[in-house]
Amino acid sequence: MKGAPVKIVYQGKETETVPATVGAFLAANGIAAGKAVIEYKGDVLSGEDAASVPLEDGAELNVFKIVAGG
Amino acid sequence: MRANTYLTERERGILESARIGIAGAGGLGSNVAMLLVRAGIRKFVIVDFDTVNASNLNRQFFFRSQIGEKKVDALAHNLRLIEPDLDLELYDVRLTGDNITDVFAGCDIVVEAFDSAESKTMLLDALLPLGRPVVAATGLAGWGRSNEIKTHRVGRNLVLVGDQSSDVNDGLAPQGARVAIAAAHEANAVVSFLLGEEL
Repeated sequence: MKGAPVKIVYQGKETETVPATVGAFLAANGIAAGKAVIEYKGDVLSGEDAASVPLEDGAELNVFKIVAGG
Repeated sequence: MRANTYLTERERGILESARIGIAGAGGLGSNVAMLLVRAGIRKFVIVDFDTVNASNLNRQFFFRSQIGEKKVDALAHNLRLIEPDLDLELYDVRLTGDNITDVFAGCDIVVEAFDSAESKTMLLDALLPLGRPVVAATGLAGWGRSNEIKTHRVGRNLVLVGDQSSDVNDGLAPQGARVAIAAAHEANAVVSFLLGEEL
């Protein structure tokens, strides 16, 4: 994806990034979509959808890692 | 005689009419179920394929005399010692992506209480797209850091409990106190969900 930088709120912090899908942004930040819950714009986003949904200016993105134990 | 005499009639009605799914009857699931019975929940779907063993007794709501019993049967027995009048649907099966939606079809909320990260993800992937409220846990192994276990509302239908980092695969053992803290968060989230309270 090309274009102007996108400003999002990632894990509570304002973050500027190159245009990308949610999945690509997370992969670049070391987050595997299948090992985390993704909350984007107030909704849970599946890993499959994350691969195609683009980051939007002003959007809030939160990631919750899933680890073993119970 | 009722197990929870502190409820209003409205609260009692809501809690007694709800059906809660418990996916896994180990450290989390057995304790969540115990807390929910004490809170006033009367209907459960409880699923686990395992048997009670000695290593479970550091954190799970079972007793030495129950070693070797099926967990779903042992848990049903223990829950009925608190409240005999329970509606329990018990499944001694391994939950997979093929059966999980059918097993929990009649539940108002499902509590994720598995050990493995893969199973946790499987449950979330299967139930969240259906709009089914889920309370899940991630990160509760080891000792200390009690206040790092937190409850997060994620989207409309998911509550996530835990510190998101304390992984049993990193050599941290599941220990009773921290597992119980997470189980209490999960149980509290279920009751809050049902009564419309803040998490």
